[in-house]
This record gives sequence, C-alpha cells and structure tokens, in this order.
Amino acid sequence: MKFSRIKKYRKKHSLLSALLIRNPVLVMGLDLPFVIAGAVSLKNAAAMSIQMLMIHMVTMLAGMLTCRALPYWLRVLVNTCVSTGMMMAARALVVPLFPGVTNSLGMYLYLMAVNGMTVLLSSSIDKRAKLWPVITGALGNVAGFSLVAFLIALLREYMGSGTIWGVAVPVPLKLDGLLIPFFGFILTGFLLAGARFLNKRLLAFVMLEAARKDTRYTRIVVDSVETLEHFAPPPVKDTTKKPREEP
Amino acid sequence: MENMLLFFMAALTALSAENAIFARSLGLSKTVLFINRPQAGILYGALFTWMITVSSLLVSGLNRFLTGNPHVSVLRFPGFLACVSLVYVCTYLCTKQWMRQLFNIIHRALPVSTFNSALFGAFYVSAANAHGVFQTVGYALGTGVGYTIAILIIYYARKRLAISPVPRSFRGLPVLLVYIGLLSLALYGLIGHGLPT
Repeated sequence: MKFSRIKKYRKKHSLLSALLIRNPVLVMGLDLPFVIAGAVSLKNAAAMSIQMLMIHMVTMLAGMLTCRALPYWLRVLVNTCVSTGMMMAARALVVPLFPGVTNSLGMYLYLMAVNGMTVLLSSSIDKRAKLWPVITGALGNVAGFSLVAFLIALLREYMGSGTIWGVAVPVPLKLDGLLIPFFGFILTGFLLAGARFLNKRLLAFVMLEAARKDTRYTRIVVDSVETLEHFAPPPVKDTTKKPREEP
Repeated sequence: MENMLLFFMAALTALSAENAIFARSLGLSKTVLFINRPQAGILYGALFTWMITVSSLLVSGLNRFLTGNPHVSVLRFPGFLACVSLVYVCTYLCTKQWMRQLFNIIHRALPVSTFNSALFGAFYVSAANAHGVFQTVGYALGTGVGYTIAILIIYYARKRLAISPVPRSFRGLPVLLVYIGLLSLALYGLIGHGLPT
C-alpha cells in the first residue's frame, strides 16, 4: 500500500478526514460526557456546539500564548481559567437563544469549561506551532464534535421524545429509555464503528480509482533491441515425442 | 454520630448508585479508556480522589457562603475553580519542595486528574442537593473511589474484549463503549429505576 497516496487523499479531503479520521469524539474519545448525557435533543446539541465553538477557539488561541511562556502545569490552570471565562460568556449568549436549555442540559452547560478536548489540546500546543493550522485544527475539532452531537441528538430526540427541534412529529416507535445515558454509550459505539467502516470504504474506493488511473496512463518505453530481447519470452522447448526412425 | 452516618451514606451513594462514569458519563476521556497498566489507573484514581476530597472541604464552605446569593449560578463555577486551583497549586508546590519522589511520579497525571468534568460535576451534584459539610466531603470521597473502581473495570473489560471475537469495525473503542453502556444499564436497574414505558 502506498502511504503517500493515503496522505494525498487525506490532505485533499481534509474536512472529511477531520470529521471521520481525526474526529475528537469518535477517535480520541474526548468530550464523551457531553455527547452521551447532554445530546438528548437538537436544541441541546446546538447550544453545546455554540458553547464549544466559543470556548475551544478562544482557549486554543490562549494556549498558543501560554505554551511559549508557562510550564505545563501552569498552562493547564491558565487555559482552564480562560475557558471558564468563555463558558460564562457563551452561557449568557446561549440561554436567551434556547430557553429551557438550562433545565435540559443542567450542569453539563457549566462543565463545558473543563471539556477534555479543550483542556487537553490547548495545553499540548507546540511552541513552534503556526497560527493558521491551530485555527483550522480547532475548527475541525468543533465541527467533528458538532457532527456527532447533532447525529446522536437527532436520533434520540426523534425516537425518545417523538419531536424534532421541539416540534412533535409522527414516530412509529417512541422509547423514553433512549434518553437515559446508557443508550448514549451504545449509540456512540455504533456511530464510531460506522465511521470506521465508512472511512475504510472511502479509502478503498479512492485507492482503487488512483490505481485504475495509473494503469490507463502507464507506458513502457523500449530504448534498444537488447532491452527488447531481455524482456522477450524465453523460447518454448518442443516436448512432443518424436516417432522413432526405423533403421 | 449522625454526621458520620451522613458521611458514609453520601460516600456509598456516590460510589455505586451515582457513579460518575456509569451513571453520568462524567470524567470519560482517553486517559481513562486507554490506560496501559492497572497501576497507572490506580495512580490516576488516587490522585483524583485526593484532589476532589481536599477541594470538597473548601467547596462546602463556598456552598454555604453562596446559599441565598442572587448571582449563585454565575459565581458557582468560578468559585469551584478557585478552590480546586488553590489545592492544585499547593499540592504541586508542596510535593515538588518536600516530596520529590512522589512529585516525580504524580506531576504528569496531576493536571489531567484535577481539571476534568467528574470533579466539578460531583461538586455540582452536592450543591444541587444542598449537602452539608460531611455530606459534601463524603460524596467527594465516594466519587473518587467509585471513579477509581470504574477505571479498573474498564481496563479489565478492554483486556477481555481484545481477545474476544469482535467484528473488525467494532474493535477497540466502539465495543468498549457498548460494554460500558450495558454496565450503565445494569447499574440503573440495580438501583431500582425502571425503563420508562
């Protein structure tokens, strides 16, 4: 397998890679509490996504500053203080936008300040990291988190509450038990398995297409007769039995 | 005597019925899910238990101070963070100064075991239930011990699942999450809840 092709595929489809291969929830197991226990409705998922965008982006930028000046143990503390400040600001924005989110999300609204993705990634930024890759990486992380949160929230709200975005919709089977955290664990596990399967299929498809393209345009250039003779097939020996000549 | 009873009841509740990982999925991270050895899990859990128990002494005072305050929802989390940060800095500096061997063992795991959702989540639950000092400290201790036990359960579950015939796409984290979900359901039923019908 040519790893250069895989790298090219991942670079070309960087958004798809961020959502599938480098998804912080599905691959690294970060921010699972919010997805498992918090994502029970689309409004919750939207509120958490807006909070995550504000908290994660600002804390990553703060992390770029703190990584140059502070030791690791102090960096984590300062970054958590920054994320707490952003959490309070995001909460002030989100609560008027989604009334009732305080009751449905509860303490998870405040615990976003210490979400694993932000705390871990903001404190692990390299001193030599450039601004643009950090920003795009952070945006990719938020996109990955939001995708998983919305998918899980859609399924759980539709089949658990019988609503979509708070609007009642006809549902063939309504199971209130889907809103309990245990189902979040199971659903996230299945989603992760599905993402892996999809990624493998996509990669196989891209590799196959690239291999076909290579075969179509490959030419063999012969530079001399000797080379041609070198590649010529060996003479076939006559193995048929000759009749004996009569004396 | 009554206070000791409240302490132990709160600790037992936090350890079993309201386990941070299985009941509320708090504190789940790659550190917890992918530990290499049980000793690492015990170290991480012990550090977490230390931080949450000592911080709970300050947090119980803060909860008393904030009772009846109109801005409690705004001040609570920053207050928790201030208490935890104080304990964190003191632990770091004291071990660095006077317990060098211990510092060498714990300094990498200390930040991750301190600033996580399980620690702050336990304080929120205590505040929501209007726990007193003994109950807050007991609940914190129970959360720490329950968290450590959950880490070890997840470690041994991962080992067993690795040698089980699992479909390729489910190997590793997916089947582990399904396993934790089933454990969570079992605990939910054990404490007397029934699935809503």
